[in-house]
Amino acid sequence: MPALEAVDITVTFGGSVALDEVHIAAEPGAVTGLIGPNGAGKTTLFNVITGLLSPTGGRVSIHGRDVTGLPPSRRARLGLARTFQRLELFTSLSVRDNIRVAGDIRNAWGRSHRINVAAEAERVIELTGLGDVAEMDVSDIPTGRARVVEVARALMTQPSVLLLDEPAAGQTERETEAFGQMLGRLADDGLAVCLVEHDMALVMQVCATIHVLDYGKQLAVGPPEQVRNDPAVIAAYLGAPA
Amino acid sequence: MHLFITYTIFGLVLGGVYGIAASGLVLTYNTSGIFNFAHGAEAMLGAFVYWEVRFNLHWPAPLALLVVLGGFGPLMGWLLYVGIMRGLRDTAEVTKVIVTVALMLGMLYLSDWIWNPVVPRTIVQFFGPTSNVHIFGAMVPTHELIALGVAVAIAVGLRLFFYRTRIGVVMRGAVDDAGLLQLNGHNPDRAAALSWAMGSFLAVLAGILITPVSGGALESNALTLLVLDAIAAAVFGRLRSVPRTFVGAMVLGLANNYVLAYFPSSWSWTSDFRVSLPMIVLFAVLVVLPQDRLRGATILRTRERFRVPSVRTAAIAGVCLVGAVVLLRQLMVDSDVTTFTVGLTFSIIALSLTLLTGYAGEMNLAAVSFGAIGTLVVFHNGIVGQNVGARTTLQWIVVGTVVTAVVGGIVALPALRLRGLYLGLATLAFGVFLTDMVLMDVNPHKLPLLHTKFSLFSAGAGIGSLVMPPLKIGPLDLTDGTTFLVSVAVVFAVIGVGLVALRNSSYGRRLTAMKDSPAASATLGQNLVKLKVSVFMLSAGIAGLGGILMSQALGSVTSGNFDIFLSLSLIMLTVVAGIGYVSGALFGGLLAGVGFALVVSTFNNLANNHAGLHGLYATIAHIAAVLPALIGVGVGQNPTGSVHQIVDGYRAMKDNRPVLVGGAVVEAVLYVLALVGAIGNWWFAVLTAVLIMVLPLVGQYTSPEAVRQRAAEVPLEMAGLDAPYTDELRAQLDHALGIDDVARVDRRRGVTVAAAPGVPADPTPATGPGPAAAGGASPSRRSR
Amino acid sequence: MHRLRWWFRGFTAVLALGLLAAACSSSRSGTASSGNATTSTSSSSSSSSKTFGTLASPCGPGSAKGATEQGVTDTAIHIGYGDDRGFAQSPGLDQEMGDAVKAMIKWCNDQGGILGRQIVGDFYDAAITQVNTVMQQACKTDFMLVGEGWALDEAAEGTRLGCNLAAVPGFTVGPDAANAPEMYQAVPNPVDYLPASPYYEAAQLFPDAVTKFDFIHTTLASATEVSYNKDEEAALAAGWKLANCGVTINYFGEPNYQPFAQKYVNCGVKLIYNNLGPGPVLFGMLQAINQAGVKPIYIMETNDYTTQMSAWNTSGIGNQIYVRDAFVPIEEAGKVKAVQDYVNAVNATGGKTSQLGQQAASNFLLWATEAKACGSNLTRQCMINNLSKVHNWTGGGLHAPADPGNNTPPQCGMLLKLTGTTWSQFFPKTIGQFDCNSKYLFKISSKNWGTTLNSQRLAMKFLSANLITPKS
Repeated sequence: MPALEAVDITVTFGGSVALDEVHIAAEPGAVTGLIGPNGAGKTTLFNVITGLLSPTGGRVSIHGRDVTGLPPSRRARLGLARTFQRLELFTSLSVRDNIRVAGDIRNAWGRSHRINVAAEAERVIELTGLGDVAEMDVSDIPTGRARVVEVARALMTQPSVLLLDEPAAGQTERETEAFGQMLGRLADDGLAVCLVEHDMALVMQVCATIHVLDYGKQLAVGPPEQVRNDPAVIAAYLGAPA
Repeated sequence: MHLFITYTIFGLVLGGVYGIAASGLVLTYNTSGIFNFAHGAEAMLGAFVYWEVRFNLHWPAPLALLVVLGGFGPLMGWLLYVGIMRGLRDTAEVTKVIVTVALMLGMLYLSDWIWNPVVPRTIVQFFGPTSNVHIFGAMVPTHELIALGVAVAIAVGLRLFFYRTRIGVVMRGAVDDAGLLQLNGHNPDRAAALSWAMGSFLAVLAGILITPVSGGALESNALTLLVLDAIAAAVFGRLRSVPRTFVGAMVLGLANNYVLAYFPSSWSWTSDFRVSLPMIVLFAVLVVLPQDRLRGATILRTRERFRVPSVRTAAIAGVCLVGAVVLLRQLMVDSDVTTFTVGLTFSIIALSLTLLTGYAGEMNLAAVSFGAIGTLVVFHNGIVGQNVGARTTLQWIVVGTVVTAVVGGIVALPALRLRGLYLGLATLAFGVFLTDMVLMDVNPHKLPLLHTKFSLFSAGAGIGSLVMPPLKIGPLDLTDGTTFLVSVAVVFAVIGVGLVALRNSSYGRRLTAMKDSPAASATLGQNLVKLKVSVFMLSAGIAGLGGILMSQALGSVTSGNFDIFLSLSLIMLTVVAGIGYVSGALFGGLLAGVGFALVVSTFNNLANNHAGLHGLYATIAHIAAVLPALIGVGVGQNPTGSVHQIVDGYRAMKDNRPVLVGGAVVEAVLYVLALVGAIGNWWFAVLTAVLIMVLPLVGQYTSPEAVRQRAAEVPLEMAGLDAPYTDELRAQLDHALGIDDVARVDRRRGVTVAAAPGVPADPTPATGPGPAAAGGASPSRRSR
Repeated sequence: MHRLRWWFRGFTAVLALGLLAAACSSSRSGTASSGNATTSTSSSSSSSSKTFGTLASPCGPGSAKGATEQGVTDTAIHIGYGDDRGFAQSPGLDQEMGDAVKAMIKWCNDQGGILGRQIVGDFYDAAITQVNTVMQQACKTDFMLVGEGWALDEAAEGTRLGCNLAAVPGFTVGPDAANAPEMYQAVPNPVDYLPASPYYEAAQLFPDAVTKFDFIHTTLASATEVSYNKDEEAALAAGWKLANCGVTINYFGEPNYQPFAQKYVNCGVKLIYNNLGPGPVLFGMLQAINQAGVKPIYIMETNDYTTQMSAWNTSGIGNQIYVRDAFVPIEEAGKVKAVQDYVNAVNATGGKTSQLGQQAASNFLLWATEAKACGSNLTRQCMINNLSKVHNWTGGGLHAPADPGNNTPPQCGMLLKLTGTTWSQFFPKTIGQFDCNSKYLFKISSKNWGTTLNSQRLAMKFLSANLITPKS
């Protein structure tokens, strides 16, 4: 059973179709890629999966449970977490508090979810390599690091499904490399990761399966090699050399 | 049948009146994202100007209409946009609300200043005061039919304008995606300016049309407050759709007249119900409105920045406050102690806003009204003893506080599913409803089952005032003014420190997270409605307690003590002082509760007593009346508040002990001089104010860094290394590096610069039109 | 540049706070210093034989001494007075009362004060809602309250009696204030008696119209409804017939008055009794009734006898307005010396004149007359003893005779008529004369008192053992 499955998702805004019967699944222990040009509908799909947007049609399930009608907070409790392409950091808080508050929120879910926030935050900061900026204002750190803060924050809720929306944008090459390795480790720990990314090198390196979207339509699905050589994908997306 | 037709037509006329007023609200909200509370005040100013040229200068009607509608109206709107509203981008919703509320209050005082309200002024109906038209046997004044016709024309015209004209379509998009508009070659700035000019035109038109409908006698308050009733119609149209707004307005107008026509007038609450109808409808609409889509941080980075003190710092400050109150008491005449106490109780009410707005980013525009609930509970249950010996009991004050919290939760619940502005409107509706209906319930009615007579707000038949004796807990009797004063100061300090502790707790962090990004908060698993309800209840409880204490400090209260204007000026002055700070609540509350009223009355008294200087003192009194509104309007420039600036100034000289100690010594000398009467209290106050302001400047000038800086100007490439990296410095660097202005402007507006032309932007309404909080820092990297 | 702006903005905020603190602590001194700035000895010597109307002036030099009570010293007597002029919704509300007392204080001090003691007036602006606060201040400062008019007096009554601050108020509103202990009024308006002259007069003058009358009801019961209940009782006794039209307007204004006017039309009203004061609400209502095509007779309370009302009536819509009055109208100042003296006194200090001002002036004269009688024994007890014995008071001819000592209203009245923008005496025809009849003293049934009275007709609510009662 996939950790996350979105079936036949259709979203229309007024007259225009943003997503047209898109299907995506993410398996535990693997990174699933979602690529496509700007405007392909990737972020819209993430919004549908996390419950920020109600789809016109289709359904979303997490660990086999249908969550289509649930609010975002309930989905998070089932193990879903995400980052945002347009960063949604808590700008009044420091980096450390941004991460801690996610633990605070988890603790408010109920008694059975309790974690030691301070210790867990320390662990996540170490894992994501944010130690040097932990005490800084979150708005004072470079974009690339800020994206890592979003990832760290998502990890604090101890998710089983993690949606990452262009996490490497703004990162230096060295940062991206380290980030790729971290993704690998997370997947090895059994996390189902769903990655939207423009950095093709990263996508090809870490993803087991790649979904390609174009103008709301699903163009192709498959392992990196297959997608790379798909003529439709090349025409629509990779037509210009990456 | 005849009766029915008559009241139907009058209902439609009233609906037209609401419709004209509401359409202007919808127009400006749609194009600039600012809900204009001053819309009614603009109408009022327009009507006064029209009266001035038409009936005072006796211009012919067409010329007067042309000048006022074609010139004054649009010009006022354009000036408002250019001078004030344009500067409100990147500010929190509460800041936007506050600025227009301040504008409303300012215009009100301004008109009272220019046009002495005691002098009767009449705008005569078009075609004269006796011209009527007969329709199906019902007689309707010609002017009212004209008003109805204009209302319909406006509804149709606006609809066509928005959907059939190019500029109209641009305007509709201006709020949703200013960036997209810009990419397509439109100028959202121009569209917004035009919409404000049009909105103001509509307001002025409404003023000129509506005044004769309501009898023709010009009165500044009535027109200004018309906007409150119009809000219900606008919400009916979800603040978006002009046609729906008009439907809402017509429903409201008809309902009002049918209640008037068919409800038995013997029911004591019929009229209060009719007057409250717009607020009741507003509430009902809020309940049935579908849940809002969650938005992310719609703004790249709000300009409000609040620092959080540690609990230890707060505790020290609390002790200092109580000490300062005790010291100030020594300077005061006995009779002024009550005034000061009342001011401090307002500060406690303001603390509810610090929690709700400052920490959680939600709005309550009727904080003082919640105080009325607590007061009612205590009045009806918690008084023991008779007359002079009467006291209130602690347990009922606690119950009153809790009941207020519960009522707060019930009031807020329907609006909490919606955007912040709606909560503001819901609380506003509640506040007005309370004063119009609950606090008007002064005649005892028989309760159906209990066979006892009861009225909510009455000390006896028809008397709309409640006597609230002071509290007595064991040996602590607050009858003594000084004891009461110090007790209130202690209560404020305790709640204040408690709030700081709360802000530093996990609950406080969750509130902050919700305020900064509801979307991220929700996807992390935060149940936003639950969190909002809890914080609103907590906040309402604090307001309730503050209200109870206020009533006790005043000794007796009337419905006027819970007027919505008090709530509005309270939140306004608290924002001005710094809504993210406990100290902001202290100063905001003192200013709103007693400050400006005292200053105004002091100067009025001076004017009264010095015939020779009457003009001068009266003018100063007028300026003092307008001043808070002016400060409120200026909050757009400085949304974090004054306290923040002052604290920042002192933070910078934390280590500059000589200056700090020097300042303390000077202040102590001033105090002693005032105590022995060598200098008057006025001088003490003014000199203290000057000292507080000058000290950071002295500190800055004498600090080691400043001395070093004066020795050697820092070369640009070294900037930011050993000094804070300021906006100023950044601008300087940008300039030196040739980063063009457009790019920086775009970054501030939250436009996705990176989106390549021709490629449709990702339709992501859920996260809003803003790039990442820090995403703009390196735009070049993303456009590969 | 940036720094400078920062400084300026912060400064305005702190300055405002400073002003607040200062105002808190010195508002008292501001007013107190002003009252006694009047010691022109030149005029006082010649005025020993001065009169106010027909009343011998209570003021003049003398040698009364002693700090006999709070607010009384060898040289000065502190009295509190005031009005609601600071009320934001109606700026300048009742300011004629404060103006009148201020003028009378100067008039009195110019003659040498009361037996040589200067009167120091402490002005209190209750601004409607602050009445209890100002009462607390007066409690700590003043000897008595004189000629004050606070609409929400009821709210501060407990405080006033708690500090035994005896009063000779310009008017009372609340039922517990109107029949309060330690209170004497030049022209009383107790809850249990109504001066019923207008009802009988109207029944005689407009016999047809009174057969279908109604009120303009409002949502603010304390402002209009409480007294309508009494008016109804007296009107029915005088033979009026109520046409229940069901009109209740929002006291704070309606967006359209036509529907209400229609209700009057539908029920065929011929006479409308009104106590709503002049202003946009009343004007809007009157205009709408006129436009709806009915032309009822209006009988209005004295509070509508104002220049605001007459200035509004340029169109003549209000030409059927009749106002009851127990005072000689200001318009007759040329014929009645007391009115002229009042107008002169107020003009000398630059204030506004009106019937309410006359009322305050009469109360000041009542107080001053008895204060003089107390001489060096100027205590609240003495004042209350003396005031309780005054049974025929006209304020030197300002108004019809009333009984302050027994707290009963005049048995006389007149009707004024508005024609265009001028007021004039309408009934009785002889200028300055009142229509008197013992049946005009109308006893109100206890259900409409709004409070309970004891056998001495004192409101029970704030009675206590500590009150000062008259002793002979």
